[in-house]
Amino acid sequence: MYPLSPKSERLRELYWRSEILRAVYWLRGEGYGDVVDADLVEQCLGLDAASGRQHLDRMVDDGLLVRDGAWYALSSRGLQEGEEEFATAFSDLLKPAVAECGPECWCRMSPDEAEACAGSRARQVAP
Amino acid sequence: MTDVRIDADNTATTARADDVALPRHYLRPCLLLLLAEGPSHGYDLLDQVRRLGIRAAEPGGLYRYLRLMEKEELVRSWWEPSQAGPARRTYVLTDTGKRALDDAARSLQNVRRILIGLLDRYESLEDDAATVA
Repeated sequence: MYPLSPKSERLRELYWRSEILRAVYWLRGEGYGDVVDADLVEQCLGLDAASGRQHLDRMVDDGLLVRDGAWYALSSRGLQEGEEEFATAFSDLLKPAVAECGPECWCRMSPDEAEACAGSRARQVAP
Repeated sequence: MTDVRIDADNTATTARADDVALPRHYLRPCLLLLLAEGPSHGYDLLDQVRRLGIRAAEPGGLYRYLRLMEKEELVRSWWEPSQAGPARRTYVLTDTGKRALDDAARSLQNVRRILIGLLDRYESLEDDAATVA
C-alpha cells in the first residue's frame, strides 16, 4: 500500500511522523496555513485519512501537535523540534532531512538502529 | 476545471482542464520546465502550474508530486531560512531531471505532430462540406 514506508510498525510510525511533520512545515513555509487535517495529510502523502488521523493523534499524545476538532497545529514543542531538525540544516545541501535516508539505509533495519541514525543526524545539526 | 489526481502508483493524472483533455502526466513536464527555468518554491510553482493549464492544482497534490520527483532524483531540495517567516523548501532541477525534461519535450512534440495532422484532416472535411453545400 505504501511501498516506501518501512515494514516494522515502530519504524513505520517514525516514518509517517517525520513525513507528516515535514508536510506541515512545508505548508506553513509556503503560507498555506498552520493547521492540517487528515484529508490534507492524505493529499500530501497518500496516507489514507483514517490512518493519518491515528498518526496525528499519536503526535498530539507526544506533544508535537495540538488538536482543535478535526484540525491539528504544531505545538510550541513541535515548532521548536522542527526548527532544530529542518531550519538549521540549510547550509549543507547534501544533508538529508529527517527520515530522508534511502530505503536501503541501515537505519531501517530495526527501531534501535533508527534511533541511533536519528540521534547521529541530530548531533550533526546541533549548533 | 482541472483535476490532478495522484494515483495509487504515485503517478499524476491530469483529467480535465476547462473540458480540454491534457496529456497524461502533464504535471511532470510542467514542473520540470519550471525548475529548468530556475530554482523555485512551492507557492510559486503552484501559481505557475495553474498558468500552464492545471487550474485546480492544490498544494497537497503538488507537495506529493514534488516529493515523488525528489525520490526519483529529478529534483533536489533544501530548507532555506527566511528573515520574515518560516523556512521554505527550495527546489532545483538535477541533471537527471534535465534529461527527463528533454524526453518529455520530445514526447510532447510527437503528440503535437499527431494532433496537427488530425486537425488538418478535420479542416479539410469542413472545406469539403462547404464545397458540397
